[in-house]
Amino acid sequence: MVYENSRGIRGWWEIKGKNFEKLLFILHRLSGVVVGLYFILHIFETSTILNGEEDWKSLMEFLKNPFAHTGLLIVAFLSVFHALNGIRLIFAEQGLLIGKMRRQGYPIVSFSLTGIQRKMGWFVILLTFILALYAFYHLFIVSLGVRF
Amino acid sequence: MRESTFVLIQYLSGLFVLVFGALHFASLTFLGVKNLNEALEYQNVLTRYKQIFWLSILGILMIAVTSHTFVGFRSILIEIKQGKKWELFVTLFAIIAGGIIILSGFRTILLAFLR
Repeated sequence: MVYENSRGIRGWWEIKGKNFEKLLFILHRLSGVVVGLYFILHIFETSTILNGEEDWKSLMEFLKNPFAHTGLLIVAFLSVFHALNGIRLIFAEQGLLIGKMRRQGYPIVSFSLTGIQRKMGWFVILLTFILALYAFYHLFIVSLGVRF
Repeated sequence: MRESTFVLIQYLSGLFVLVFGALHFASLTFLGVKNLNEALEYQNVLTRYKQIFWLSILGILMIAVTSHTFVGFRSILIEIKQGKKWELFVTLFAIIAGGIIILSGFRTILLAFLR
């Protein structure tokens, strides 16, 4: 049986007039896809260790540059966001910390995700930036020796 | 398999990734090493593959990330299109592709351990 009215991934991009949680939803999906694809590459990348020291060193030298490390920084940022937002989603899906139900009245606004949940959303973003700064420190300042 | 089972796998694998992924990042930056450059030196990487503790962490992390990734991809693909045949195809794709990734990862872990 084929169900009608499926917007599929096109529905991800319909953000006009949508709430903060919809934005977090899109970021969660995008970060999941990017990190998932990186993980598949990472499995094959690490298998180079079996080819011996020369091949491993060549690969590490090849990947030790600002472009590759920018890619790693993006992956680190998206991984942290996905992990922290995933915890928020588990709470939301279990009906935890979502605020009290209220009678709807004009103007109609969504009360479904209020209370601590929305604050958690902002906390997720803040913590993601802080941990991404830590990743930046290791990838650029320590590993590449970038000085400001 | 019921849809709720996939959701449960997604939750549990996500929590495993969180814990073991954090350990993996720690092992690349400060846990037992000075920095990322030292952690990625050939001998250090190989040494870690030879320690049962780190070997287990990498194995568990790989299974958890693969499960989480492919259950996630499956959900997205089912959002694109619905129908029993499509859902069966997508589920089989997720299992086979995930299986290939896990086998490839285990091949690396096992052969590096035996080196």
